[in-house]
Amino acid sequence: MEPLHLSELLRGFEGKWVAIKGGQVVAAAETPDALFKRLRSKRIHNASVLRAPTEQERRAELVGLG
Amino acid sequence: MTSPQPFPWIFPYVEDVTSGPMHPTGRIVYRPVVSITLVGPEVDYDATLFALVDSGAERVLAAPGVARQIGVTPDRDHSTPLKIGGETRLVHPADVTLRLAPEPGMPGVEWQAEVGFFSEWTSAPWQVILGQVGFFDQFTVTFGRQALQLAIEEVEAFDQRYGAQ
Repeated sequence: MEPLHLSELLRGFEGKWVAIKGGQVVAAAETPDALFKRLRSKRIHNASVLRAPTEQERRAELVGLG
Repeated sequence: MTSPQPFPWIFPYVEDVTSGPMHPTGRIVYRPVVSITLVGPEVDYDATLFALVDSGAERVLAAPGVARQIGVTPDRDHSTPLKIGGETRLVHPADVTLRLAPEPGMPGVEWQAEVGFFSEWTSAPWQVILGQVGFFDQFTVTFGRQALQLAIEEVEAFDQRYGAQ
């Protein structure tokens, strides 16, 4: 059971909201509202969503929220 | 609804977005992360998100955009200030159904929990934090850093294994 390699997977999606299913990016959008709307319109179920940090945000290790 | 597969459910850690070549020191950062579904009161209003399993968090927290997606209105008349990184942020509660499955799309378990929705949350990749009340009180959670996996079992598993003190 391998860890999901997000840094590779999200390359090129910096700053976007991204849906991942089966280890692949299946949709991306500028805002969460747009992404969930897209998932519903395409009837994509069971994709997991997160926000890909911008290049600038990636320069610091996340400790907690914020 | 089909019965979910028996516990334990094993989840692999997820490599953090800020990791490897993108990390300030080049190291690989792994996080205990699961896919969790927040279910709203209306049919088809649910959202599945990567959630950080955070034993140091007291409650379940989520970004404000998640509340919009599932059609839930956090209670603006009740707010809890949380200190995060030295700054104070407000969360507003809402009762939400949470769903966890061994894999997205498989039969899972559901429970009700109070979720604290932040009034502002912009930069974190994880839009949900699973804390002690609302998650760790529902399951026995074991972290395996060496294996880079976490195991989730029924809440009674801890007492069965170690005896109630």
